[in-house]
Amino acid sequence: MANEGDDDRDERDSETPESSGVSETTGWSRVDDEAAQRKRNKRKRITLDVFGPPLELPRTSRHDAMVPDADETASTAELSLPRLDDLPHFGRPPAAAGELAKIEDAWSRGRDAPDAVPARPRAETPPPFPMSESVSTQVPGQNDAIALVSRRSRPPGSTVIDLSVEMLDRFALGDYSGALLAAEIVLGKDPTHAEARRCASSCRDRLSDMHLSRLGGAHRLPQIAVAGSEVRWLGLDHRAGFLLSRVDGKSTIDELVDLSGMARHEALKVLVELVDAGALSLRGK
Amino acid sequence: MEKVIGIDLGTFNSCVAVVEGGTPVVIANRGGYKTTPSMVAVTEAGKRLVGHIAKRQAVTNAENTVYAAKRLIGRKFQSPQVTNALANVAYRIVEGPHNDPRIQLRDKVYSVPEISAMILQEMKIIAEDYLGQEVHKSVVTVPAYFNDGQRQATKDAGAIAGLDVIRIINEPTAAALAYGFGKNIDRTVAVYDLGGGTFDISIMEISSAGVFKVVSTAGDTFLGGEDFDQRIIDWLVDGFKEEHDIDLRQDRMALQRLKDASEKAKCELSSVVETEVNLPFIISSARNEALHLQRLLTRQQMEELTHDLVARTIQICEMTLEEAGLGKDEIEEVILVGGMTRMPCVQKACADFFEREPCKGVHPDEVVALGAAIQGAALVDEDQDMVLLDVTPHTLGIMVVGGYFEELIPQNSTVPTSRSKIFTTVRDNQTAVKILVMQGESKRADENDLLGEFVLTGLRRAPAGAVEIEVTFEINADGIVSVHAKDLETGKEQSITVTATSGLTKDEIDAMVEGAKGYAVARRDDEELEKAKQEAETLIAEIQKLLPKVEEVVAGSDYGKDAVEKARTVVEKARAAMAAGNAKGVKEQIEALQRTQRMFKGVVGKVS
Repeated sequence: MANEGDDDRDERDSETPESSGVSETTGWSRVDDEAAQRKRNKRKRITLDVFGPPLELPRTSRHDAMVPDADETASTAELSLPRLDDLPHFGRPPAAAGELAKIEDAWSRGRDAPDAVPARPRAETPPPFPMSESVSTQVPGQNDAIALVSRRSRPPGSTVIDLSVEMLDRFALGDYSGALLAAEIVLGKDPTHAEARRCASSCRDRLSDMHLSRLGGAHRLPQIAVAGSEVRWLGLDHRAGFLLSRVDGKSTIDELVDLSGMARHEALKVLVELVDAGALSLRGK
Repeated sequence: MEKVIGIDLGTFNSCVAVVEGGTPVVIANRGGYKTTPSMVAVTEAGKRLVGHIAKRQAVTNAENTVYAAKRLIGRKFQSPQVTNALANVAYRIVEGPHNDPRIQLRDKVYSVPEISAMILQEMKIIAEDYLGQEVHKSVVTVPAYFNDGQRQATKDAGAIAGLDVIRIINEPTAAALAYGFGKNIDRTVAVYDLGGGTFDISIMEISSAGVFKVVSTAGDTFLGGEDFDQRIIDWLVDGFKEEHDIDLRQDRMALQRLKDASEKAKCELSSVVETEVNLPFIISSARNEALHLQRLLTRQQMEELTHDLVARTIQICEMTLEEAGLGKDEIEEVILVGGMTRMPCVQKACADFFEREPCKGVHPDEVVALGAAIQGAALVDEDQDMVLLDVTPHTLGIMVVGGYFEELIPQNSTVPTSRSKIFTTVRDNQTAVKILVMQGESKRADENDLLGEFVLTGLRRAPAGAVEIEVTFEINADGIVSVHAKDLETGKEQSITVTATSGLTKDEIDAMVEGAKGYAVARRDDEELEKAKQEAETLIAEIQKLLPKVEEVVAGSDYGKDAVEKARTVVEKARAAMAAGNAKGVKEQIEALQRTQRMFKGVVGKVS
């Protein structure tokens, strides 16, 4: 079980995913205040639904390996983007310890008798892509999303965003589009950046898989679902217009991707948008 | 009897046919089209695309899409045709190890016969799917002007594709063969062939004895349907620029759509007098506003846009007739070949020039492949009384003093054949002569193709013209040319055997054959896997649909629960095999899935 110190750390690590944009750095005093306030709050755990399955904090002994030193604590808090307390959901005054348990809602039973519901076993998350030497030595034995989130390299007070870190953070949070964008920027500056290449490739694969699962498989046959005269009333861009013009009712999703001239994940995304817009229907298994 | 397929390996489109029950038929591809674009592309993921799918992405993936490889086949890298292609195509042409042009697609360099082989392999697969059996033999057509090197390169392409090319025949010969099939006629015909990228006119003499003589042939390898499409594209682009001040040529996706729409409009205008080009969301403006292209094109407008192209074909016809020494009235039939001849203005121009209505009895897209199939069937069918003679496509001879070309075996000579001529020395005390073996129709030797050379030495010292040398050309039944030079006085002789070469070594061809075999196997495996996957997915979907009901029914029995658990395991195993891409595994699981489905249906059927 996690100790008290772990709770603090859990809280901090879980907060960062909540922020989705890149904000300016906050001041030191404020960071300290926040850290203190968070300690007071003693919230046990925050589960975030970023994209896909919720991120959970591990309940394993690996926590010990993640205890940051004082400097790391500061830098971690400092990196965070919109602060949780600024968000409407978290904006209420801090509840006193135990207050949560008194709130009557659908979750109260679970809170009141936590032992009655056994904790969901956490599945081991495979590494998204082979981690670089530096990462693996920094956090030995850590290869999951949390490990990535906890690795903050930006020095305190720095206003410069480290895109490599941003890239990994976003990947860990399941924000593959954001991670890909960051990776592409990194690669734009340094095309040989191995980690960025791996990250970009991994992001593309994952985005493709996500879109493909929405479409129901690469061998389904898209069909135009609107009359030719009505196509122009759909709010499409020229890329969607192009892909729509390739649909002939005989080409599978895979073939359309091949002839789209776009990257696979992009073409699949456009197809998902076309299906969502009602421009396409899908036939076949 | 083994089936022999006839393949019209065109510059822009290819077609395959076979004789079935004595009737030649064209085989449609999987998309239902009877012609397949002669295009090959490699996608970013390294996947090979051939045919229609390659064509539909040709503009957006221009650097990695090869078209008109036929213009390059069997040529030298420095030849004018390759130089021209270098300036006009988007794909990368590099010099090969044997001074031959090669094509770079992504990170791999391919020889031109290899590219043609990919198209031939596609045609082979189309035929095999239709016939339900493997095909090994074929007759492939080539333009009448192809020299031995180009013909050999086409044969090599066939070999790489896993086809034994038992005969290469001229395209106009194939067209004339299909036209004269079962007619037993003696006639002089003009074959007007306006295809996707080339124009050819051939004057032919068809004899009931089975000889198809190409009397004269000419053409333009850069004039075809593509140019007509380009005129329409230009018209659309210019109109759009006037309206929105945006040049659609700068956007590849827009250009691809314009190309497809122009070709479609052109085809439609052969049967209707006006058509609408409607391309919604063609491009986004600077303000991110989607723009649409919508214009009405009439047949008359299109004819105005392209009249000079049609006029050019007629000009070439005029020159060809002149070269053949024939008057228009001596042409007894005009055969139209190539999809472009469907255009009413092309038909009218032909009719006006030849002063007779062109023959409408043959299908312009299919006639060449049909002719090749007819020839293929005749070659393997001993019962057929059709006599088909191989003829030399070009004149063979040697270079003589002054840089002139002296003919020994004339064009269209039936093979095997042998001819001799006596030559003399041109200088006093000349002790050696160089024999340059050439092929072509020009009087100037440097305008013809050099096939080989050798030196005859040891001649006696004598005044110019006193030493006589007999030069003999011999072509055997396999088309192999041997040249002998003999000093008639001393009996000393020297010879050379000319073997046509495509520019590829035997080892290279063997390696390419293996590569193509590997691709064919992988493709078949992929298809099998996909078929199995689809079947498995259908069964899984049915099982899952039945599962809640079955669970409800068997809820009280341990045996039933066990069966449900087993069914789940079968589904999981099938899914795992599908995810692993294991065709054999998926097939194994299909049987188990079928059993499960039957069992579930039985359980549910009993209850309801």
